[in-house]
Amino acid sequence: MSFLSVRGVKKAFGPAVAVQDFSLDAERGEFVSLLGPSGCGKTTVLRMIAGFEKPDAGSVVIDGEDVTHLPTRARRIGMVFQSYALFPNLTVEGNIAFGLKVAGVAKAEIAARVKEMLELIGLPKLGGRYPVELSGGQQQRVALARAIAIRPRILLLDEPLSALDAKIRVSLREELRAIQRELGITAIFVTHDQEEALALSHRVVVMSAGWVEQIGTPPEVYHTPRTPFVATFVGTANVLPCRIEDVAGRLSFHGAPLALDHALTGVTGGEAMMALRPEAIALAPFEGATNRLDATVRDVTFLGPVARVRVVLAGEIEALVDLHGEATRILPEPGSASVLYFRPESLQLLDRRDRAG
Amino acid sequence: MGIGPFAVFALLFLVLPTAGLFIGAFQDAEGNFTLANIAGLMTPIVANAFRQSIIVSGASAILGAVIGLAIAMALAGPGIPRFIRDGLLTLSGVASNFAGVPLAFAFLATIGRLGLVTILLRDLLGIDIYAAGFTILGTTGLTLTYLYFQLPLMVLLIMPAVDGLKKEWGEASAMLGATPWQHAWRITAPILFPSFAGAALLLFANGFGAVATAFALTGSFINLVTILLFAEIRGEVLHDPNLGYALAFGMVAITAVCNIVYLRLRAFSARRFR
Repeated sequence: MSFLSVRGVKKAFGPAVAVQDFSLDAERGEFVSLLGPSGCGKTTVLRMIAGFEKPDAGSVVIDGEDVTHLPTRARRIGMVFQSYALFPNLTVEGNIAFGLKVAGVAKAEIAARVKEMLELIGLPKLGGRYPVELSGGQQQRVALARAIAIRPRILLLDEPLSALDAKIRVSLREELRAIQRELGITAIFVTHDQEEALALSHRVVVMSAGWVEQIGTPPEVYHTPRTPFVATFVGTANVLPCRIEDVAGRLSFHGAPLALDHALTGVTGGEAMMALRPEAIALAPFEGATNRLDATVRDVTFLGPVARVRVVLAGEIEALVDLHGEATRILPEPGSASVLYFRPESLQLLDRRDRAG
Repeated sequence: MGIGPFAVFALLFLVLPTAGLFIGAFQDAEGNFTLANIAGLMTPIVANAFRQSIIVSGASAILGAVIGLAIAMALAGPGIPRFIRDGLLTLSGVASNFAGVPLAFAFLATIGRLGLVTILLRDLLGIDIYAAGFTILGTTGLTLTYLYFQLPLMVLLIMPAVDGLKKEWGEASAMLGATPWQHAWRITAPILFPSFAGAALLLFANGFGAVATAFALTGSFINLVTILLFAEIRGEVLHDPNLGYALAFGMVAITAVCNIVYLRLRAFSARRFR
């Protein structure tokens, strides 16, 4: 059985359904991100794991113990909030020691643990400061130390980096990952930032409108998105209509033949959607690029390492092509005819998920 | 330049009168320097007036502060509809300024010896509050009357601090294993204390300086500093304007200390808990 098991959890706030039938299993030491736009239900899931919200249905089991109806304080979880939520009346040491004090831990042990935590977060000299005297990054480090000082079973992170500026965000992200790996603690991380989710996680849960769109490793979610939402939310993708010609993986786009790299099972043909990453396309033939589509260049934006070319395909459908490296030396002229080349494995057939009911 | 008119106003109606008070407190009727007025503050009648004023304003400040805080916490809690909160805050704004003759009359008409509530309690429930020793003209009655404006003033003063308590602090406490009581004792109380103490001091100063309500309610039945001061300056029975200046000087000193401590506590809160 998994270390954390969330089964069939649902939550509505009045008529607004925040989470629809959410299930997730996480192993001990695993780092799982809940990724999605605002209002997709990711924070509500986290708050249900924490016990701040009570699910309308379903269960939350941590290390074999059903905690669905346990109050937060009995769950032994650590949480880091977006707004840090440090206690302003306590010093850094006071904040880190808080959970140990209320648990009645001996003074000497508290002092040793606080020292250990301060060293872990790289702020050994700031124990006597008050939160207001710290920068945002330092406050969030202290919040992390406070959460892990109590040796929680699970660490919950609610967009902990989003209130920080970009540079601090990247460095703290790396520290966070290092600390999580070092402690071997199971972490559930909520973010709307796909780069953060991909960089930190063992697995990513992509959510939209209360539903789980896809659960997978970062490369799986990126390279084989299952739904149009995942394809466009995680990175940039051209989501194009197509027709399934046969179970061997042959498709067509406005009459132009295309091929997948695998046969289809359980698909009988008909209209479908496919995803194609801009960086998987070239405007010149290359090895294995057996798929081709005629296009007309609409405009070109040169961005240094990348040139983004907007093209128009058959049926007046727009698509993006990213040219890299040497390919950006000679850029196509707007209005010129061009051919898009890409490999069968770059094409991803998407689910057409019907969510009515 | 923008504060010019205010500076002139403050100079004419605050600084100069206060300076006049200060000088008058150290002069006799002929304008010669004397410490007799300050010594006069130690006489039994004056000392008693200060004690009585401190008791009434202190009691009304403490009760107003505690009950006002409880009301503010309830208003800031979850599940309170917006219109109730807005309505109560507006009512507090009005009630905190409702003092003087109308307030005294309102209390006489309700819990005076022949007040509506007094009669209803006696005739309907058989409770005779006056037979039990209560009198609107006593310390308890005056404290109760003062509470009418002290309590809403407390709600207005403490509301920003209560609104500043973050929900996440409670959640962080719970996550760290604290009970609601542990959270209240270790986090909420220390955060609110400077604002609470500052507001209570302001209530004390407010009660200490109140004169019209007490005078309209009790005449000179209760010996408060403000009533004694009124008598010394108006001079119907007592007349010693310079002792009056000394009394006022004493009052200014006490309320100034309250205000300075309030401002310091507020500044501390703003700095530490922003």
